[in-house]
Amino acid sequence: MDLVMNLLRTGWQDSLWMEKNIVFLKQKYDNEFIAVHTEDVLAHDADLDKLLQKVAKKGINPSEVLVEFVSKVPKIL
Amino acid sequence: MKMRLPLEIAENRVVLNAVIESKRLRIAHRFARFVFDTGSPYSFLSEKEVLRLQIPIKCRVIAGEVDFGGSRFSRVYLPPVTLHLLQEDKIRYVSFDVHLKALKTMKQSLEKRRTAQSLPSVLGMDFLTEQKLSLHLFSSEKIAYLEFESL
Repeated sequence: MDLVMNLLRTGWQDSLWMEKNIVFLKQKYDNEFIAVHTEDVLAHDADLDKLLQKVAKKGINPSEVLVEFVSKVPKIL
Repeated sequence: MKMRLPLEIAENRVVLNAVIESKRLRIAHRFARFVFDTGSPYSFLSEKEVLRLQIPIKCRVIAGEVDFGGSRFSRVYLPPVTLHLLQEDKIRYVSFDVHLKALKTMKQSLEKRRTAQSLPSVLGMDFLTEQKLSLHLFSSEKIAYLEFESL
């Protein structure tokens, strides 16, 4: 499959997975950054630099994961 | 003929999912999310995405400062990037060359840096205007898409 199409499809799946599980994710990782990869939380940390290091230590380039900040406090942006 | 590009509604925000690419920034194809903000005149890559995508911005020209989400940032010039977006049929994509600036927080304390880094990348009015796109949102139906005239 075309690389761009493959990335769009897997990225959309991860994004939709995150939205579907957002209540659970907020409960478990309140005020933390999470790295999502193939519909799972690969790593989490309150410090973004440390999170990216954790992802790299797992042998995955941090640019290949979805990184979001989750908090029980509602987002305006 | 009009073409539609689906958007996601996540946490009641309109989100554009894209693959970003830039040879000059050494970004191979990478997935990225942007929040639509029609209240913003500018589009930009958040500090979180700059770090994740490992974009070197230290030596780049500063375009000025901007207040965003309660924090003050430097706006850093970037060369154009290409955004690849999924079409409505979900078997094809369309590509746009986009001018984004990168945000770099001016905060030093850990807590304030974290708050600044938690902000998303944003597509503002300049993106819609430059790409000649219309934004359609049916919030109660959780449907959102971009539309443009295809040749």
